[in-house]
Amino acid sequence: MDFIDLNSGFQVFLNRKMRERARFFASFHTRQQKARQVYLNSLAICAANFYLQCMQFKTSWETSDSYDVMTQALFNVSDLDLPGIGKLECRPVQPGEQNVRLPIECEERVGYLFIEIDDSYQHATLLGFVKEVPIEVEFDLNKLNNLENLLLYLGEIERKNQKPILSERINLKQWLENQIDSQWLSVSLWEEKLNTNPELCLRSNKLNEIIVDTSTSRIRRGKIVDLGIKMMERKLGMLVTIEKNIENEQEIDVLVQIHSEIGYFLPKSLKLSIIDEAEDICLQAIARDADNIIQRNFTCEPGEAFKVELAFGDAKIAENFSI
Amino acid sequence: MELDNYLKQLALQAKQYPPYSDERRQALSRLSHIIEKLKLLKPKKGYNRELYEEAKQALWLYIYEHIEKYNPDKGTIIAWLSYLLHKRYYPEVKAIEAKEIEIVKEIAKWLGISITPSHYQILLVELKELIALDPDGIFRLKHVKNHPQANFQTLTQLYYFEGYSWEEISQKLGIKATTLNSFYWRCFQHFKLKLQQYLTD
Repeated sequence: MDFIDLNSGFQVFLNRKMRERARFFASFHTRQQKARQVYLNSLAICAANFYLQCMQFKTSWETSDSYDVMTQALFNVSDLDLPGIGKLECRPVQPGEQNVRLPIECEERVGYLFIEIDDSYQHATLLGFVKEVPIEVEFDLNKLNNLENLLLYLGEIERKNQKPILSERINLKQWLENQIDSQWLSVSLWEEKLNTNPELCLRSNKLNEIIVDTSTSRIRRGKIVDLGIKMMERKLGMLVTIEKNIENEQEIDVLVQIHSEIGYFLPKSLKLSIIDEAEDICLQAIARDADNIIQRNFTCEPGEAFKVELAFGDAKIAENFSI
Repeated sequence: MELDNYLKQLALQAKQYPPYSDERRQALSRLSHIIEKLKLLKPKKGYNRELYEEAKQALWLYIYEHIEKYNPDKGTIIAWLSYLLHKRYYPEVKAIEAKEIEIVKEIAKWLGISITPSHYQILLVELKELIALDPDGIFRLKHVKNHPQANFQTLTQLYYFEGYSWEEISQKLGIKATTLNSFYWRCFQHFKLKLQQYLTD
């Protein structure tokens, strides 16, 4: 059910601010040919910038080669920096142009987006992109991929480069000696923080059932984890229980649990991973429909370290532990 | 209508997926592509073309971030977008334009530059770029004693370009408003000649 040809370009109106910005950059260059080049490059970048911002990519023209007047003077650069992804070359082309030739200075970009600027400088049309382009030889513009592919391509790189936010390593040995960082709360305090809806708390005994603690050699601490906007402001609680192994006192049994706020389920496909020092995933638990807790337990030897990673879609957080 | 239904499906698809996901981006890209290409949003009589296009751009930036707010029970996606465009974004863009003209007039008066209405926007962009680029590195160095963050560059951006009042800036920076105000106007006098040179070159 296509109402339009999705391979047709996406048109961006070049508003006054864009045109003035381009003119401003061009005004630094006295040679007419250079000034025109900078003007067109800047317009192309403005159009790409608007489109990518709409698509919720972070852009940073200020850190691009093309933002620097000296670099503009020396090279024909038209890049737009996408933090966490790389520099995307945003190449202006003239209406009807079939072949383009890219200069050597735009080698090693993350991709090449081609933008047609109309003769009145009122509209820019994002035509399409390629991941790689032969430098300094004629390139046929009919070979471009459409913009949806650009979104998928940039999104893939964005995810690949996204590093989980690392927190300081927590030494569980110290927990056994009762030296516990204040951000790791006692169970009752943790429970209070997790469940802000007291009415629901009274009705549900589920959480209490899970965390009733009879053993004294067992240490149990919790913290509230924040996966950012993607969780729709629902809270998650991480609860870590440790205990000396019954057979070998040197080893420690660890139980990691992720609880939902009472009255809510965990978001479906929320993923808990236990990762070792070699960055290999050792254990994993994934929330299904209507789960309100996921957990994994394992045994650690002294000197070992592991990472607990919680992921939902592209959002990730990690807690690092050592024994 | 088949088209309305398809657009609704795209909006619902976008709503369903988290921000930054491929599915959401794809659905939104397709949605705007179709709406723009088929010109499903229309300006009203008497609209300024430039401002209308700017309002539409502001609308798109908003929609991509807040597609969750679309409620299909209340009407078509086009009806929702039209409402936002005509009731919120066009008036907003127009008001910003009016305010910017005031700022430019004020600065031009201070600098003793005569200016025609067709050049308001040009001068404003030039000023913004000039202050941000600070080509000789002088604007950011001139600051309230012991408060490097309260420099001419930042204060100009906050007061003129972002529209904060001296009271608000005062709270933000923890410096008395009267101190900021008098410092700023002394600075302005100090840079007057320099600014005139930059802008008339």
